[in-house]
Amino acid sequence: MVKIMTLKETRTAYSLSLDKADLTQTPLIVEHEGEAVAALVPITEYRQFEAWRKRQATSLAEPDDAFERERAAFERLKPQLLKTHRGKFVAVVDEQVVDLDTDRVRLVLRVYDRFGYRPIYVQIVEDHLPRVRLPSVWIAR
Amino acid sequence: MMLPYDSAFNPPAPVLEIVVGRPQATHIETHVRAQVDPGSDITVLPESVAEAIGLQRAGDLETEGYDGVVTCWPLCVVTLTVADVTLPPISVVVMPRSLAILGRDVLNHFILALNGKDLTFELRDP
Repeated sequence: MVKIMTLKETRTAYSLSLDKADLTQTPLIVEHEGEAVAALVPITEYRQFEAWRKRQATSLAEPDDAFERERAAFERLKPQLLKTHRGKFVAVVDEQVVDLDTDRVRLVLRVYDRFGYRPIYVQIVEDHLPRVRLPSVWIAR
Repeated sequence: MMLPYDSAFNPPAPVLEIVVGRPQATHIETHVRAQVDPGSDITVLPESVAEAIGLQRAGDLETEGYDGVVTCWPLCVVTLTVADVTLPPISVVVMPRSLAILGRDVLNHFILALNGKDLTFELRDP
């Protein structure tokens, strides 16, 4: 359950008389003049939040320079790849084709083994991108 | 085991909780509710799930919606545990949604029984 503490302006420094259990188990909302102004949360939750915020900064929805470079490299290399590897999946890392396979997932996992978990561009070498049907999906924008 | 339909949908729909994991990192996983959708070719995950476990993009895929509109989406490789069965790694599309969608790429691993009369369903690994 969330606890609420009211903050009052004084000339003295604030002190909180809460035991450790209070601070490690439940959030504490600090109010000033009837308005919630801050929250104390267990340090584990704060660290999870910090990690989440860091990940937000590199959201999949945002343009990712590293990923876009790999995709651009694929498009650049595609005319040549169509002559040599049509119908196969290729993996682009650091703007170079590093591996190929007939199976997308197998190729992705092999590239992660070799280069670590990072943005990569794996695509089938065909004239057009593969397309799948999602007739009932609603997108929240 | 028969599971109840989610009555938050109108009409009620088969929805269950699944576990999504990062490939080759068994301890990095999260839970999300997923709607069973045999009409979808592929499985879809919400962006929030990708962000929660730090999924990296491994490509993209074009999708065609009910209205014929074609859109390009990020594609990631994940592990999924559905109805207590952990499937081999699979590629999924990531979209700004609140619920995941279980498409036929996942459902075809199971026997799916929909009992609309009782508003219950079952996903069973034969």
